[in-house]
Amino acid sequence: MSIIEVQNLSKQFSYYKKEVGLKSSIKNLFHREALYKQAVKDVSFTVEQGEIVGFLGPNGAGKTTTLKMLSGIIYPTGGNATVLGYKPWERKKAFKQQFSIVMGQKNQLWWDLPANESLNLNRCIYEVSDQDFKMTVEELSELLDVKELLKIQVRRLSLGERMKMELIAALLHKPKVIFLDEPTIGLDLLSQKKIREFFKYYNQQNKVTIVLTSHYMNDIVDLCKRTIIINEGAVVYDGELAKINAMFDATKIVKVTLSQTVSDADLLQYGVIKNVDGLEVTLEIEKEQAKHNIKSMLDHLPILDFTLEDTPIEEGIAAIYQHGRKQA
Amino acid sequence: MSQLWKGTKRYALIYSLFFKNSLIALMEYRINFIFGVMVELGFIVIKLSYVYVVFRVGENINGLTPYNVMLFVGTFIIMSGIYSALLFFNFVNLPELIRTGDLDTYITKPISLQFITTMKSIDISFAVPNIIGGIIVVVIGWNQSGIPVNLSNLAGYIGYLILGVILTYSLFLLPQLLAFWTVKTNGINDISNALFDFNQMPMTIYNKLVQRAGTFLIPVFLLTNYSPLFLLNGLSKLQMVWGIAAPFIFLILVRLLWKYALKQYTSASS
Amino acid sequence: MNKYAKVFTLGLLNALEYRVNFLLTLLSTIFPILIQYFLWSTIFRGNSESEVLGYQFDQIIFYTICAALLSKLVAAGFEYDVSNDVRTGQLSKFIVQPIGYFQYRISSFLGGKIPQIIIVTFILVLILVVVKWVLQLDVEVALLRIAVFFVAVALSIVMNFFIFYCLSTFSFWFVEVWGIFYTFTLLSSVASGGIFPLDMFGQGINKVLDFLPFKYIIFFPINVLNGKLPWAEIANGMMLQLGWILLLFICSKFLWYKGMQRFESVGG
Repeated sequence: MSIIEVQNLSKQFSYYKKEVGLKSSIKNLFHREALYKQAVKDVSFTVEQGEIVGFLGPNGAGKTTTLKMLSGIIYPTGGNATVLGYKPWERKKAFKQQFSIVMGQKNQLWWDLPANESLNLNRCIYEVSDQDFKMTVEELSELLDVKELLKIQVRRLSLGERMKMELIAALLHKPKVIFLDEPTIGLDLLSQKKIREFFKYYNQQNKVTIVLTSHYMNDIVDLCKRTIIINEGAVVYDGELAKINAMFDATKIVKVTLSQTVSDADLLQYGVIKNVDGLEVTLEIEKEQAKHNIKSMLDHLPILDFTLEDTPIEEGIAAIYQHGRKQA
Repeated sequence: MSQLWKGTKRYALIYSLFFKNSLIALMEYRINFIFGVMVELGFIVIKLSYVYVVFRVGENINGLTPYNVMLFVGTFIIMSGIYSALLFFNFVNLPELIRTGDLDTYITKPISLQFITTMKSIDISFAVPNIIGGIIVVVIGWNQSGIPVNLSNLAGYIGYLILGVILTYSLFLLPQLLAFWTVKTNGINDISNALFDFNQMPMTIYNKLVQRAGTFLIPVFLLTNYSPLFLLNGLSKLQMVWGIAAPFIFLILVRLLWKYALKQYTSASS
Repeated sequence: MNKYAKVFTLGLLNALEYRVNFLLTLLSTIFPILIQYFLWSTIFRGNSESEVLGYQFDQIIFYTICAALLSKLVAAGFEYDVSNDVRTGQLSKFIVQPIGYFQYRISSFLGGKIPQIIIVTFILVLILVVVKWVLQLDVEVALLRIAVFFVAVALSIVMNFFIFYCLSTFSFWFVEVWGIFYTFTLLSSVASGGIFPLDMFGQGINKVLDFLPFKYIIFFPINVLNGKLPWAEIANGMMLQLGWILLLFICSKFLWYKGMQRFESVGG
């Protein structure tokens, strides 16, 4: 059985229509028109033990709502899901003791206390034995390089250090499943990288399952072999991120540096001109013709330097969003 | 049974950590401790000004001597201390937890959500002057009223005091639960506090209608009146039973409403 | 327009914005008034005398209502703004700009009081009408007294300004001051007669209170209104109000001088 199984999971939020003005306010007192928003619709996927899966999607796509359902914070309005064999929203104690959710924008540490006091509180809440507690804190603080900071008030720590403490607090009970909602939000590049490396290592060592949402493409590219892209509440892609372009995009990007200017007409016979900046030219070429065209370019144009790239993943993803919208 | 005992022990341990953490935080902000004590002393002066005037009047108030009145005011002071130190800030903070979605983090913890959100913040700076001052006032009133200090009196007084704490918890948490339906609770806080202050003077000064409403409808008088009334043999059989039953009835009520409210709760970031 | 007249108007407009808030504050006084009402009815029911501690039942209820209204009317609150200005260094703005901080504060404070005075006057007149002609209570209402009462109230508003303007200088020496301000407000409400009429406290305590300014803030104006004081004593009391204002003014000048020295030396 898979660690996480999600079948046709849906969530509909109801809210009330608000109109401006006194008259409609009074009207609303007696009758409020309910409106519905389908935040998540028929989402299905499974995650195996030890996988790291990235959730990608624009703001309001339903990533966080899905994570919240998987961690039992909110009830779904349809479909089913099991995590570690439990229905998350039944909120069984045994389930809560085996997973962890880290939300980058929320902190659970006590602001005015040294982090180790908050950790100790979590030890009692999660019923971790003294010995395990000591070992885990020792190991994680060493890994994250915050051993010296455990006795310093949380409010005196930098954002990155605080996040590391949050991670220790979230991993104290050795969860089998970890949900990470924007874990690197607001952090500087170096801290982001450190935290990514940590999760990579932690995942390999402990075979934990990680589901992650992030706005930073690097987080996903670095960590996740598999990516689930959600748009407007529905899954639009599930698979390897690197293969995303193959689906929609059959072009290559060629960047050349010329020794002298070449007319646009001359360039156009090889592909679509994306950008001309003096002697630097970017062309987009159909994949099938790529080999042939590039060869003939090298033969006929005064080329000094030359690079060949795939279309950036971002564009592939954008294409998927577009595509999803058209279908919906 | 041993399961229950283990659970109780675990919660007691966690509560003691809340306590310890609040003490550490207090050391961080010593000035706030001093200010907390100062402000509460100011409130005690106001409460005692009522006692002083009662003494100046010198007459019995509905059969209560001024020293009897001290028993009521002292109990009121103690309860104010307990309420503001252990409960008040948690209750006021609840709408904020819901608004910011911080409640979500607590939902995923293997511990009672109601326990952690309504008992977490403790600020003993408000309790220190009130509990010391209140006990002094009660002791003087007790002594001068000529009430024997025996086991049954002590047990009755402390018993109704604890029942009062349970009822305070239930009664003042109830209106805060409205926050789950995104209603602003500022106005409710003001009214709650005003109702609490009705215990400033013995409930016997109010007319029958107010007394009944404050006993059975919204049992604010049970918070601090039954302890001294027990000592003064002023409790009828019905009142004695109701004084024991009401805290649990309201506790069950608030528990049920909590569960219902939580079901309604959809996360703030929707 | 004069710049302080402008500040005055701004204070007034600001208070107008918060008029509903002020009304709610006034409404919240109804609970302590109710407690006192029940307390005194019980005391008077068990007592054969028509007077308790020098007050008849109607008089004490009238006092309680007036005291509740007045304590909200004279209330300061700008002391927290001063503390904020000092802590954030905003005060230095006033050093470099051609505007006096004292004039700024008092203009804004008094401007804010105008709508409040109108609201309280309205309520007071309403209460007087109800008390006199509907409930037929025994409270003397004389127009001349009402007029003098308003002069006394105006003086106590100014007095209270100076008391809290002196108090606000604590901000220069302490970073955190809310506890000091709050506690002072609580104690001054008792000492000014905002809860019980001061003569109920007996001679001993009154001997101490005579040396303090507080009794002229609430206790004295109400005594002007309810006819407890003969005219000679009213005149005397108002002279003392003026004397206190002068004294507090000098006091505040000195404290602010010392405070600003510190502010500038620390570097704001």
